[in-house]
Amino acid sequence: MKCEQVQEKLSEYLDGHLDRDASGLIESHLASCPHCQAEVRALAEAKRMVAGLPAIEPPPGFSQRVMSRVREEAERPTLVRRLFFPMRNKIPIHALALLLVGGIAVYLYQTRQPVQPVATKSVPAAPELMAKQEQNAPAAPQEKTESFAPSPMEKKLKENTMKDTGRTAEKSGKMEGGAGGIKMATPSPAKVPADYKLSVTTRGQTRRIGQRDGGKIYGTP
Amino acid sequence: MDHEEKNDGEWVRRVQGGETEAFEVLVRRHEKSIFNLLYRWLGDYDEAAETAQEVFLSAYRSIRNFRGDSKFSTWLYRIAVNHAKNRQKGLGASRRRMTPLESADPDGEGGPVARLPDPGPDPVQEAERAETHERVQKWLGSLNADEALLILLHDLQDVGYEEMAQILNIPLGTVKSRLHRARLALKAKLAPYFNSLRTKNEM
Repeated sequence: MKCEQVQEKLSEYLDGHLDRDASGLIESHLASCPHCQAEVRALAEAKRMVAGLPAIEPPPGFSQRVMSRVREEAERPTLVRRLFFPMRNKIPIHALALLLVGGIAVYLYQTRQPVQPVATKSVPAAPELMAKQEQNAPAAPQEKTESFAPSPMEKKLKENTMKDTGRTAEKSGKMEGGAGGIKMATPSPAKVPADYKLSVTTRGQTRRIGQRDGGKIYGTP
Repeated sequence: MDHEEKNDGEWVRRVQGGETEAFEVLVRRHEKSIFNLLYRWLGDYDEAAETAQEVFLSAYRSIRNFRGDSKFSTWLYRIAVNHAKNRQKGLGASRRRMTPLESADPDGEGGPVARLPDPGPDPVQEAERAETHERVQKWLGSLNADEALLILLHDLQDVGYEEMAQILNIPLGTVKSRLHRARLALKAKLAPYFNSLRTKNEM
């Protein structure tokens, strides 16, 4: 056995990890090789010196300090768990959040609802009504003359319609009175029947209302 | 040892079952070996104490993951090694591992020697011994960290080859060759010291 091969195995030899045959080979080499003897002695010395390091005591109260932190740790999960962990506790939180969001959504929808339908309906209706207005325009002067005597039935209808128109105008006036441009929005119901031009001269939904009524009731078929 | 291992398993199961106080038995049983490994490896008493505390806390946190495939001590050593490695990284430890005892004169205050029990009847001999221990500690600190760890586990803590392979998650062959390489490195540091001792004795 060569020195190199022996020296490779010296740690295992020292630690007792070689089988009897391998150990025997090492020993017979060592017996005749002072160089390898010195090597194994030095390695054994290194091992012995580390093994001879005294055991040091941990700081006093070490385990108590560890345990107090461990106890803290043991408490903490229950707190966290209470808020986030088990499903049975998580669901109410989710449900509450959902209700809250839902509630806000409904509230917002309801407060805006009265404005929205009027605005949305008036926009698509406008061009159509404009067309109707043009169509009816030539006939309008004749219609408007007082000489045209409405039948009792028509008269009643007219009165009702006027009331409706007034009411609607009043309503939209309330809503849009603040907005610029719709100056006519506050006529009294009594004034409306006297001034049919209202249906033509006003803008937005009020004109539409007047126009529709006019078209239906006074327009030529 | 075998009996104690069985016992460890018993206490581990108790902790796993929610008995927090049972963990104290495990701490008391293993604090000394974990602390000493860390102290010798990190080379700093306070650092070792702090790290050891983290090791046990971390062991408690993850004790449910311990399935008993290895000994509890093996599992604990693995946690200790990981924590110490992180600490070494965090502190630029190769320098730190080397320095703490470098400056300490044998009879200086505050060094680890000061924390040792009172010296024996022969103060001169004790002082010499303490000096040797300091030198060994210093040499270990100057080794590659992985090599120093193998030496400490095997020669100081009596951890076997197979268990070291488990702790470090490396093949058995690597344990053997690395430990041998580590001893050769340590031997090289020792040689001048012994030569000087020898000449001193011969004189």
